[in-house]
Amino acid sequence: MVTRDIPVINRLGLHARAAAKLVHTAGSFSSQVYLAMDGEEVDAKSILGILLLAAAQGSEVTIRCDGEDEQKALDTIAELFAQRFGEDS
Amino acid sequence: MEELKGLGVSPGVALGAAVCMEMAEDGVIRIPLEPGAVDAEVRRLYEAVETTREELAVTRGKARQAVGEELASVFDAHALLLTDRALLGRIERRIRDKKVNAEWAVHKTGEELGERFETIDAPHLRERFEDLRDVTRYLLRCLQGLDHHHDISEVEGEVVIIAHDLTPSQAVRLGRGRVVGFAVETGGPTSHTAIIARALDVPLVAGLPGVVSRVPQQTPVMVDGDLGVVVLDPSGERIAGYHSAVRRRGQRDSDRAATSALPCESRDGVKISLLANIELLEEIAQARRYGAEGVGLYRSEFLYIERTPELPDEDEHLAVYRRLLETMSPHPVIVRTLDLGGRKLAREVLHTEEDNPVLGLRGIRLTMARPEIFRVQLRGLFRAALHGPLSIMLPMVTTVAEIREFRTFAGEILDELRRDGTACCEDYRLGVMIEVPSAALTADSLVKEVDFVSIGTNDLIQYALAVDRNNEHVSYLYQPLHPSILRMIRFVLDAAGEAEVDVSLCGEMGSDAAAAALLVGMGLRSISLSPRMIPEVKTRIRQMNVAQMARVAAECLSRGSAEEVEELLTRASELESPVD
Repeated sequence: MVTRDIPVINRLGLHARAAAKLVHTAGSFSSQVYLAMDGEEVDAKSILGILLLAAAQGSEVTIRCDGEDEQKALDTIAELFAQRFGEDS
Repeated sequence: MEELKGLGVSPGVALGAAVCMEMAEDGVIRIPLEPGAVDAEVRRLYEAVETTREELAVTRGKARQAVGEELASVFDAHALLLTDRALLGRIERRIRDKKVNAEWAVHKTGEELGERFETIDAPHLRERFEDLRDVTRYLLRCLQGLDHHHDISEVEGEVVIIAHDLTPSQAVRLGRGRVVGFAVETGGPTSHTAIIARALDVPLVAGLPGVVSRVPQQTPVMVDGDLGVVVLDPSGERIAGYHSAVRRRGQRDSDRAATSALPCESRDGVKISLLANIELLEEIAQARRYGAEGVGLYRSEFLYIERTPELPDEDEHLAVYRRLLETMSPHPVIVRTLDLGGRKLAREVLHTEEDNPVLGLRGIRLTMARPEIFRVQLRGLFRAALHGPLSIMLPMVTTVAEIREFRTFAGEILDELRRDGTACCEDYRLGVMIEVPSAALTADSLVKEVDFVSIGTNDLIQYALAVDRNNEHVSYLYQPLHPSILRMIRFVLDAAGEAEVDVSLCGEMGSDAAAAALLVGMGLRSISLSPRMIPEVKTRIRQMNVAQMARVAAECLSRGSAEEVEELLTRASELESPVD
């Protein structure tokens, strides 16, 4: 199992489109992927969970991956956050 | 045992198991499931999810062509929600744990999650709730369109529906099923729902605030529409009382039906035609049983109410009118064209919104303003006319011009039917309702344009006396026997008589035996009324002497108040010598 704290830096936070990208990305790995914030952890492969988590810009989330490809999953997802989910600004 | 006092708006007594119907927006109804039906219901949910996902993929494809990939991707959130195990798992658990229909589970889950979204600080993240709401709506729409759409009418055994409110279309669906009684929190005697309950002969007690939350599901419940009470968990004694009430009712019913063979003729040999007012086809049997000599008023708006929120198509119109004409043959049938406006249905279906709907776009005003809707009804009518003599009656007419415009429009429809080679009959009798004081007082002009008129006293009284009888503050002023009403009716009878045009009366006033006798004394020879009231009115007519009543009527017309008229009538009936 690997974990990493990641700041949400994109302007819109984990809004619908970002959440959708996160779900797609998490879903492409066989590992379990979780996202935690303020003591609440949700399945990163569930858009409902991510939307309910409502991580806004400036908040910090913890990614936890567990499974065969956990390291690759963690790196890829961290990169997605760093790239602001491909938002224009 | 507990007794709740309400308002009996549809008579009769019923005993059944309570099914409390909770209802949410979008017409979602909570329906309890049998334990064995739960797995099938979960399968139904996933079927709907699958269908919705396929539909969404098509929509997304179209959106991409139209607006480009970037914007089309908003649908991705929808698609993801539809595969979301957390969301679907919640819905499934709710179906299993609460044993409820999928629609209700979807609705409640959406509502619950909505509350959680409400607590999110960031407004633009909170807005994502919209996505969820879209998805629950898609799902609901899909579920409601799927086969095996759950309908409360499939609940086993004799059922009493306990609801906050019933829409007229629900009342029709339920009343035709296994439901024996209704108890509702809201509503009054003149609502469409009450009219439907009476038409289907299902007892209805209204005005029971809080009843839905007070009655546990499946409790034995007795609904007494005569006394306006609902008894929860009735004692053995009450149940025995119920059985004897049913027997008495059956006896009374066959006594009444026995009068149908008797001629409707006064003691001095004046024949009066009693016709039926009908809302639903179910009432045809009742009308025939009680000896109605035709249908004096078929309220076609009930065809619309049944179909709400959709509009009936031409074939549906045709089927209903055809059955009416065929089953009543050789008796006449008068179909009143759509008379809605200002009511809920008008708002929902026709998208009209008015400050003062009673004085607004209703009756012939509405239908002529919406020819695309009216056209469908008229085509159905002219096609049905092949199957029996048809009379068309226009509601809310106030000017001669309206009748002429209708004739022109009807001519166009007939041309259209001829052109496209559709079989139809061009012969019909045309009549108008006299239900606005201005129409009553210009009846001498109106009768020259038509084959018959029918006096609609319900609206005539409301407009003439400026009284809404549902308004408790002024309902005491709703006086059918007010001399102003009698004088207007007299004027209409004279005008029709002079022009040799048939005249009838189809308001509730005609089903009051005393008022009916007075009207006959004034010269009325045809009354259309609720079928179940026919025996009573006929009995009264068979006891009366028309010549004697004519003298009483002349005196009534010269009086200045409803009270004086009532007094005269009471005295006259006391003086009336018994039959033998």
